[in-house]
Amino acid sequence: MAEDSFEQRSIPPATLSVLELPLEILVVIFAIVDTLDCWGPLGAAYGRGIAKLMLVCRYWRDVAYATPEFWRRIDAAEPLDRVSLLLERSGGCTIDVRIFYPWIRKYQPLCHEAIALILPHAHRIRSLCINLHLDHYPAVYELLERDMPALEHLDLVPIRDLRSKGQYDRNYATCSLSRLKYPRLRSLVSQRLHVPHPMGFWRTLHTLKMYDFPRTASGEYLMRDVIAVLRANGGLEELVLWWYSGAPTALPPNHQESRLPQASERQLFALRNLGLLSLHGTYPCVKELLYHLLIPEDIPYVDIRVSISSEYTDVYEITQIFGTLIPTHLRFLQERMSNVSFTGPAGTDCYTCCTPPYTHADLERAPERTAIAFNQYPGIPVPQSVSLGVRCLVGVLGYTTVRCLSLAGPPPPAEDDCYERMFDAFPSLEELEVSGTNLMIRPDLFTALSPAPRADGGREVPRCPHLRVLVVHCARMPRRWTGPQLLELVEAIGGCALARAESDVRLHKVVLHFWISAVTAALDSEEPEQVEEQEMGLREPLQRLCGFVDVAEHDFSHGAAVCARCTSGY
Amino acid sequence: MGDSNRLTLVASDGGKFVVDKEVVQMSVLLKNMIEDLGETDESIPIPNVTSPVLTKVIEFCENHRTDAARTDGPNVDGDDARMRTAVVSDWDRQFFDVDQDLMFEIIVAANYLDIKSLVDVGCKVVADMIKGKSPQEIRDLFDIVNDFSPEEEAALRKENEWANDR
Repeated sequence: MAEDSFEQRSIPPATLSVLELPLEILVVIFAIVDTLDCWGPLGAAYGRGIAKLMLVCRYWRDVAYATPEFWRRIDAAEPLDRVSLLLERSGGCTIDVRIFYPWIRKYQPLCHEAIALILPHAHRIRSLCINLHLDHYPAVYELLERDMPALEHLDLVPIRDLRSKGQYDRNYATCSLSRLKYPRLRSLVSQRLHVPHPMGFWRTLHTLKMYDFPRTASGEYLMRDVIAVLRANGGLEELVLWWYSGAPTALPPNHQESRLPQASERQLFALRNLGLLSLHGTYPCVKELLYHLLIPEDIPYVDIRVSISSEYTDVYEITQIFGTLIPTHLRFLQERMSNVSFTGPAGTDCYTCCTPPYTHADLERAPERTAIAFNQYPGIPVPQSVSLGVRCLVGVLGYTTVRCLSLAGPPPPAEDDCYERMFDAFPSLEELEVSGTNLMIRPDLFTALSPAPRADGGREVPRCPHLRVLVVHCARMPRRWTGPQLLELVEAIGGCALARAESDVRLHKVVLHFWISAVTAALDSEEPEQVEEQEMGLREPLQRLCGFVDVAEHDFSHGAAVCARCTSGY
Repeated sequence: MGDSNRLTLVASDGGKFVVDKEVVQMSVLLKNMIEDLGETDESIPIPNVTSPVLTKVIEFCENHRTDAARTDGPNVDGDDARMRTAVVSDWDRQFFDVDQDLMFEIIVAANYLDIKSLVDVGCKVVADMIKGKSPQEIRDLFDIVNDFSPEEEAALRKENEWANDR
């Protein structure tokens, strides 16, 4: 150890001050302060922290002026004089431009003016992130048509106007992206834009995120074109393909792996650096891609969601289809799959969107996850065989070690023992998260997790004996949120917690979140007093619940667009 | 021949430290030096770092020896996500719970020795000290003299008043 060998001497005290730090260190500290202090009452504004530090002393002011990188982040939604100031101060270095305007038409002229200021600096743009409604895209065409030799990151995902969903689904921006114009591109995030043909596509991307099936200006992509693009980008580190629109939905006749060419005949391609794989889409696309794809066995994050057409209603056939989704050479994915989510049928009028299984924040907290979901979403009709989803889950995943199960809209039980059979299939379950409306989340779900009483007065070992965390996000449906019904749900959860505690498999944590969306509140005729009265009626059972678990949290919230705690929307 | 897995570092004031090579190699400077020297019993002088500072630097490296290799230091290009999410552990915070003078000496030594993880943590700790403070509070914290004339300061405030608008 160093201390053992240290010869004690008289040491002069250190006398360094912050002003004597090397410039390169001071610059790093300034940059971190800027990220910490960028938040103001109206949102983030990079440069805000630096502007404060400039006021400390002349030396710090000079450091700030002399470091153009501090001013490189330019938000076109800022006042025009600030955009000009940033462009001036960042002179000489590359810039990161974000163009975001709400879809409200009155902002369009401002957007044009800001882009006019930025246009002469197109050659300096390193990162370009555009979040505009498609109606406003013509404002950026001139910018996108420019040569941007420094451009490394391009993020073009139009804002979706929920009121014109059909139009959104049809429209594409008329501009085309080009490798010749952006030769240094490393990261591409796109939606509703024409991308180059595979022959002209970039070949050195490390991030590719496409939120619709690719399309060129002259025509459709085929799956073989997609595979050609991926094959040419063997250095990809992040691959996100969410294909719910424009993607083939018809299942090929030879969907079973045994009928596909043998591995030796296949043209597999490897993405050896891949750290994130997220595939959401129709079964044929996902299946074909996985069939040709080689990825590292230690890939940290995998998230696969598939959906099938409504023409398949036979449980056996659907189970077969899902069961052969993961090809043999990727079987390691299925073996380590511990996080499973299931998005329920979109048969109710409250279902508006399906959320990604994990948010970016989740990724930062727990980067190593392997997930699969059987997903049903608006746009493709789903079979209304109510217990189908559960039975497929059980059939396909029954042999994996599922530790976390997320049920977004649990399907209603068609048979008496539907939930019991589902939980029987997940004996290793440790965390269960259920989100949905009060019509979807039924007391039976929690009764199935309660240990049955024995003749001697004790209790049997319950299903999912390792279950420790139970999270329920329950959204209120308009005019259908009744006090007794809700009370029954809370009583069922409390009964489950009590019975498990008596059976020595105590739940550690229970989180209950009851929320009413802004839309629902507007549609509902109930007076706020009635809602408050209903909530008051739950206080006592909720208080009782605290005695059966180590940590109990409950929350009532009103008026949010989405559930603030799980980000799902109903 | 001594233990080939250990070597001796000599601080600027003559203090000697026998340290595992694995620990020393967290410093890119020393790692390159060792590779250049090959197998040797010679001590390695660290002329710019005093014993108290080197003691702390070695303590940090000992504690972080099993960390994954960190090759990318923070840079002004603004790897925001990494800067924001780079969590300063309780141990690291405790490690930097020293006088300001010593704290800055450690950061400078880490920069000289090219120990990116220590530079990262040190800069983050200083940034955390500055976070949320007004210019005057920052001056008070670091004993910095306000050398602006009133006119200069007023002009600078006006130039940057956008920062207070939000």
